[in-house]
Amino acid sequence: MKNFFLYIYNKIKESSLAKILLLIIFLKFAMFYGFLKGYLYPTFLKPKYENEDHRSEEVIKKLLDNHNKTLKDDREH
Amino acid sequence: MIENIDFTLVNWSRGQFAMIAFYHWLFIPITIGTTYIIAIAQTIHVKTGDPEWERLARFWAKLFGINFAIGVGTGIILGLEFGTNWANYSWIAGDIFGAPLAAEGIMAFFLESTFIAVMFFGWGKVGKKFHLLSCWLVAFGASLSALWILVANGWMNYPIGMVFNPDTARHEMVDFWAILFSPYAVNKFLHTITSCLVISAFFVIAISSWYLLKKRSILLAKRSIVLAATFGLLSSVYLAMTGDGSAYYVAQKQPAKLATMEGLFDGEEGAGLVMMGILNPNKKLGDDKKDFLFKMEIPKMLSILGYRDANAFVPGMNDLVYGNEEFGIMSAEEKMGKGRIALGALADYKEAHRNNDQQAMDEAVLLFNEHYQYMGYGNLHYPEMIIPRKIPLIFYSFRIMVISGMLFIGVLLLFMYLSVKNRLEKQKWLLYVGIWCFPLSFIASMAGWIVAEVGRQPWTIQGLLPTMISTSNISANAVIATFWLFAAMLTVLVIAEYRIMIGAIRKGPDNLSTKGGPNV
Amino acid sequence: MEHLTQILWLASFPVLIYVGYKLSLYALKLFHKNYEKDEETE
Repeated sequence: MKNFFLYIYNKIKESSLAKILLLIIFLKFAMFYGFLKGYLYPTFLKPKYENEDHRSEEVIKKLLDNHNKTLKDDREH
Repeated sequence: MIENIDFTLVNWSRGQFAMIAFYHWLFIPITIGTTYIIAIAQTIHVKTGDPEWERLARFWAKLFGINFAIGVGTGIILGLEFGTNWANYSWIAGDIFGAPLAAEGIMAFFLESTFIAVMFFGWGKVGKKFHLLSCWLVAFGASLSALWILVANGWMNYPIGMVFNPDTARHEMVDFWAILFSPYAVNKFLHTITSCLVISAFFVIAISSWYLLKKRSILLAKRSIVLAATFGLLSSVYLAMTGDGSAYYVAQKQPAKLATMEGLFDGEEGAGLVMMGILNPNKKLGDDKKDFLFKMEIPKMLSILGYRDANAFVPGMNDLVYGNEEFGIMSAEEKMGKGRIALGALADYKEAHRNNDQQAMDEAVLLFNEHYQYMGYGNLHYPEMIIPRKIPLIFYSFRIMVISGMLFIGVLLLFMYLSVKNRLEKQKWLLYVGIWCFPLSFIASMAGWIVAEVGRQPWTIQGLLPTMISTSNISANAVIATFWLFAAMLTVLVIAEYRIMIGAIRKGPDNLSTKGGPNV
Repeated sequence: MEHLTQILWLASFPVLIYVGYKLSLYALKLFHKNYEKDEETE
């Protein structure tokens, strides 16, 4: 097994295409997991809920708010 | 009028998801389909011992590797978006939607990734049979990944196997097998996966045709074309069969989508299938203007496709919006009334829960369950909302998909016949057609996704959750900013893919060793 | 049992791949025959 990995390492070292592809994969995952998932989303983009109960209350509120608004529209018409 | 919904947020969230899915899909079909070509070529090599077959397998595996390396992970952004831009949807459907996605991650992705390493680096280093097994496992692993995703998507179009929990506001899974083996999901999987096989067949044919035009790697190119055309032809026939299945299930479960696909405003018995047509741009729901400026149709075919009965009534958009008593079609207004009863019962339940009134809770649950299937209609503001707004986009996309699909059968048949007869080089025009069919196959496939996803509007979960309620409580500006960020990132990836792929194609298969070593 | 039809439909996919493989072999056999014939003629 150790030989197999050493073999892969040597072959990658010899191939410029493999190096480019590995660099792309590395940069991409650093961007997706490191920057996006690790920083941008939790810091700026994640909807803020205190806990799961709060989240479910918010969802129900949105369902029912819109529903009440629909009823109001009906009455206005 | 609808001031409590931020439509800028809804539209940009939809746009962002569509844009990322579009980029993601540029990589997926080749990843899924090419693996089968590689596995078949390698099987022939193992059986015959002919090193040229290994060279052929290695060449396509090299292009597959480039596509995989650059495309892998683009789906991660889609996963992230469920939590950020579609938080309400993720909450409401998470119990069901999460399960197939997790299964995809655990089973298929790991299976695929592990054996990709063996396939990619194991040439000549691991046993031939084990290497061959790895090739096939990569192929089936990639298809299995697709199965789970498409099961989740199928459930959004035809939600079954769940109950709604009014305490948590979540649809909870009660029957995993009903979700997995939903006829809609199974058909969607088969239709999508075979479209990947056809796109990959054209990927191989296009590159091989280019080699033949340039008079390079002639035998490898000819063998590749025979393989891809035969496999592609069979897949394209199966694609048409599953397309027929799609039409049937859409007719049963999403009649508004079918009516939009066909530009059918008023329902008909023995309805014809519009082969080609130009919609009247001034036609609106409920008016009596002509629906088409011009159309050519196959009589009774829509009734046959949708209901397996030449004289069946196919409801039009007006029937679905305003109802049709003669054929027992409930109006959207009536469904909205039932939906409001369901949501009113949910509000009563919450109130009774706060007051700890068990009897009122039970009554509210009973009333809710009775009207549950119309729940989503309670959030609609006017009946015409049940029809997707982009009727021309859906109508023309459907025609692009179907006409291209028919064309592909003919082109693949010609390729198969002439390649088997070894007469391809004399038919240069066909080689050019083969090259252009590759981008066309992508366009047809994207058109199919437009029909499926834009055609599902206004719903995220058919009949139960409108898209406008599914978004998160975040600022539209954040979604707009990330839209451009992702667009820039993914464009860079596509340019990288294009440049590296073109470089590898230009370099060609001639210098690929058959003495072992990775495929790079 | 209630999902048997769908299971059979799902099973049709590996069958499609197998038939595709067998059909490809047959097509390749015919191609090689014609290819060798053409090579000899030239």
